[in-house]
Amino acid sequence: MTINDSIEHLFRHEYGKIVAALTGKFSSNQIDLIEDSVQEALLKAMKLWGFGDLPDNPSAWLYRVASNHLIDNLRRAKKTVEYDFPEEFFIDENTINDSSILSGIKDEQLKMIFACCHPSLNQTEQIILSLKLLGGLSIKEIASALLKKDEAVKKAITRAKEKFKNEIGKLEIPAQNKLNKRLSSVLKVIYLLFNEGYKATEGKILVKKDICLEAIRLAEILVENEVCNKPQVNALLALMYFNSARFDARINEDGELVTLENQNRNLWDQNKIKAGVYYLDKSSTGMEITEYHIEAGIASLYSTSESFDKTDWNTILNLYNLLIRINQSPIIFLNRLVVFEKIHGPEKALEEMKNIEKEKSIFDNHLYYSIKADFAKNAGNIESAKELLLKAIKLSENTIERNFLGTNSLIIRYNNLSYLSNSYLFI
Amino acid sequence: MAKYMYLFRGGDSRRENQSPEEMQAHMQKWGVWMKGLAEKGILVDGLPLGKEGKVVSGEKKVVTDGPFAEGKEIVGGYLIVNADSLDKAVEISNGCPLFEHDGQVEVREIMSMDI
Repeated sequence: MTINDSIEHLFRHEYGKIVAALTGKFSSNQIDLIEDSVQEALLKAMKLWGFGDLPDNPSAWLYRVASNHLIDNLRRAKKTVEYDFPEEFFIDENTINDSSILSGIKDEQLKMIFACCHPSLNQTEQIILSLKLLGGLSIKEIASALLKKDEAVKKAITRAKEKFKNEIGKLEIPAQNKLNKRLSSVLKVIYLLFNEGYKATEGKILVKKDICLEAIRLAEILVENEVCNKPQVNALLALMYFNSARFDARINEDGELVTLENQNRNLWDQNKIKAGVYYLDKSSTGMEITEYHIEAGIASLYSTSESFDKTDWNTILNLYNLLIRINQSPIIFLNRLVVFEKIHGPEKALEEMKNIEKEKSIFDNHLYYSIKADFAKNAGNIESAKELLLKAIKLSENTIERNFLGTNSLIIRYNNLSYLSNSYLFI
Repeated sequence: MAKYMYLFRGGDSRRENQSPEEMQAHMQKWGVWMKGLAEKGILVDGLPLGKEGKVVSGEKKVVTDGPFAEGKEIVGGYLIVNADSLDKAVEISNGCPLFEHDGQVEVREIMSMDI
């Protein structure tokens, strides 16, 4: 394998895998030295492999080098009081090609996922730590993805790592009786991660593809494990696959947003849609229907429809009615309204919208305005539509969205500007 | 046609603060550059140098750990290329990804018998 054929994100993924493996071996309180050791190994690889080919087994090479660096670093830090290093710890070339050392790595990553989503961390810390330790992203990359300042992310990581070091200790898969609860936190983090990537909080780029794919990757680690392979995990995976199938169709060559209605469905990744269907199928076991199940069901109806006009609005509305019983968030309400309008028309939709106007927080949400603008336009109130659209533009943080809304304001030539969000954009 | 040596220095701090993703991208740039040189018959040899080393000095051959010169001065790697002249060798060195990290390339002719 030459360097230029090397797998996309190899370094980033190996970072996560090796950090997980070493933390599993040496415990969470060594996380700083562990990260340093893996970074050193990657630097060495970068220097050396840049001059020629990759080794036959890049993972094994990196693991060996990082491991040996770590032991050196531990010795130097004089923490050897706790550790007896039998010579076996030093991994030589012959030992490392023995695949048994690397075979446990999926499990190690799984334990790491639980560790990063440990209840002692708050949700933001869980997300940031997952991106850093599992995803191998740098502080700058995380800050850019989450639209935060570098300094803020740095501080959050430091705080999160302190807790990580002190509260977690040995990495493990939670015991049966705690598993569902812990799993539920993990799924939330993965869902939020996917959303961040999907709606892209980064100023310029609408879709942070890598973050979405990372979320999918983490969920796949979960389903590959017997104990964690629960229906809701499969449902979440299905949801993520259906939505990510549309990546290439969401933005046109000019960098502009394209709504679901106008997307070229030939650009939808059918393999991802198939994967979505596969996981949706697998999720339909057991007694419980979760939000993920419903959202996945909705996503599948959008994604498998031959065309926008042939979309099964009625079934989707039914699913939203179910969803809203579980989750009354304004965003879900808005999502449901868009579908409602398709069936019952703009006047009824505007009436229905009054129910949400009791919730004050909705007035800070650009989606509320852009959806209302759409209804207003459909109902023939062009002036009102324009006003609402301008409000939406002001509130939208995202450049591409702003441009999209802006174009539609200046030239009232819009296509259905329907938006759903937080769960996923109607895009 | 003569042989020239490139001595690579510096770029450490920028290099070391890269994310894994950035490191991979940087590595791939080296790969592309080196491959290009090899295909044109320009590349003779080259490798990075390890961080640790020793220095043996003087008649007494005193051995010390090192070199511990300032980061910018330590040679991090070398390359040997074929080129028609020093100026040409300098021109060829312009493609080196090290410059992205604010590094430095020293270009020296390797003396040969045919002078």
